[in-house]
Amino acid sequence: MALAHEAAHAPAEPSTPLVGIENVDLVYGSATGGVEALRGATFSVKRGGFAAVVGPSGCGKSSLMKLTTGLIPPTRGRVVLDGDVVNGPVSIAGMAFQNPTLLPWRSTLRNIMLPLEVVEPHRRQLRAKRAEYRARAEALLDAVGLSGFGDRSPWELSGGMQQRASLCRALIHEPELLMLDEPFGALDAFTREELWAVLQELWMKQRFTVILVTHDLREAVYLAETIHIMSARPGRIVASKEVDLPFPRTLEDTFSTTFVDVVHELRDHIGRERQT
Amino acid sequence: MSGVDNTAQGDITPAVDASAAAQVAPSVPWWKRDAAAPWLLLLALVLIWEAVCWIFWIPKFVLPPPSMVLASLWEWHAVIAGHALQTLYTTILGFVFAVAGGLALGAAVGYSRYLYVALYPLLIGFNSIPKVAFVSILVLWFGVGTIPAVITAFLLAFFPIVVNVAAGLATVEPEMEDVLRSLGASQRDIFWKVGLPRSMPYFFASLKIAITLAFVGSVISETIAANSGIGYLLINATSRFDVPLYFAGLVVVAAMGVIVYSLFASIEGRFTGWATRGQSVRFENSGGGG
Repeated sequence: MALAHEAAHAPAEPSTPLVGIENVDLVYGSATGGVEALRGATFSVKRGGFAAVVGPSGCGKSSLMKLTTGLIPPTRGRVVLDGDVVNGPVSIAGMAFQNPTLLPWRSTLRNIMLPLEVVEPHRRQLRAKRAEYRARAEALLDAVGLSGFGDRSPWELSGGMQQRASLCRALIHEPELLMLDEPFGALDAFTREELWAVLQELWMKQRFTVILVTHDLREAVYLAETIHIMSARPGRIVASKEVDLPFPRTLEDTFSTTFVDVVHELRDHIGRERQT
Repeated sequence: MSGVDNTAQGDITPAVDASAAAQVAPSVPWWKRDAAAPWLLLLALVLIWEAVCWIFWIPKFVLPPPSMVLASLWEWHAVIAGHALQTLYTTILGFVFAVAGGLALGAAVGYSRYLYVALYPLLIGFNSIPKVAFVSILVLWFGVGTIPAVITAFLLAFFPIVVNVAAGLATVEPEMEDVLRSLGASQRDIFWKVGLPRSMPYFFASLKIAITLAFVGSVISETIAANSGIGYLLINATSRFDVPLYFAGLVVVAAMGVIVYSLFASIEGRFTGWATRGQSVRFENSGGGG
């Protein structure tokens, strides 16, 4: 797995998008007295792309995650994933949340290997290929800077380390789509910025598709190719912004004028959305 | 492999502090140790009891002093041992059934929301009935002796197991469920990989309550209808106004309860150390169960 920093920046060929959210409404609870979380949300993410979704709090960002992975059905409209309309939990996605949700009774390595016990075809092959899968998990641990911690229990790790492990678990079955719901929200600024670099490197190497839900605008600009801005509840996409900064982006870039301008622009948008 | 760009290279030092529990002060006086505490308290209570009996001239058929209870225990030790074994036998048997039944029912109730809604009122209602009321019926059905005692022990012990296992299963983090469901996991997968391991600390906590209740069940049944067991001994002792023997029987039940309880407490630490983050396990190992 050699790094290909330059090649990764080449624009992906315009093929059919991997994820398509098409005019989706979502109402929680009963149809009459329910909470309207989304109204006419529409956006798409191209294969191998990195999209971020930002917006005021409570705008239904997390609902988008559940819709895309088929955990909940849309009230109206449709969600298309890899050419098919989603009508149940999909298996090509990996998820990570603000809470690392590692199982405390399993070692870190066995936590990371959990998806392999569930997702086909790995599930069938697990017994025969255990050594190979173990090596894959250890390579991932190494990639996020956790080598040697596989045998520790999750509660022996710091918050940042748990979040790295959670990221490994989301990627172990080599999903085409990585869904991140404020994955670095509970971390301190230094750890968060370090994990941005880790995530960006993994993405550039493996080119899975990423949807990152976040309220951290710098995080969105640092990581994403395209940023979708949501309105206040009921949420819809009010603007989409391409970030014209070359990859790999570094912390130095976050102080450049282009970067700061984009952050300002996003902030203005969201500020307006919060007032309406 | 770890070629993150240099600006973000500084690794976070792991916040692992394994030595925290090892730093027990070396010279704790013996009477402050965990192992000594329950014995000291017991000794103090016995001494006070003894003193009260002598100071106030309490007749021995009202409240015998501990010395007299101990003497009675020694005098009748062969008889008491036989009855104690019978009670221990019925209790353990009832308890084993309660564990099997409680685990199965708790898992079912925690697994299916429908079953939960259907069964819970019934369970609460059933558990509100004093189990003494069942014993007469059980004697009518199965005759005097071992079987009613086993069933009564079972009836008392299985409820806390059901409730705790169900609670453990019902409190699985929704996000954890989302992670697994988005991978295509069935409800069965989630049950075996997350729900059941997660409910183990609840299960073991309930075992400690259940075993003491099983003793209560056995003894209740034996006091009503039996030819042996501590309960039978108690009734026998009362009818002869042998109050020291009565208390000796109570002491034996209590002692058996404590012994079996501490057995489970030690097993619990081994199975669910993750739930206490390894800390109290170390305490128990260094302190020893009293």
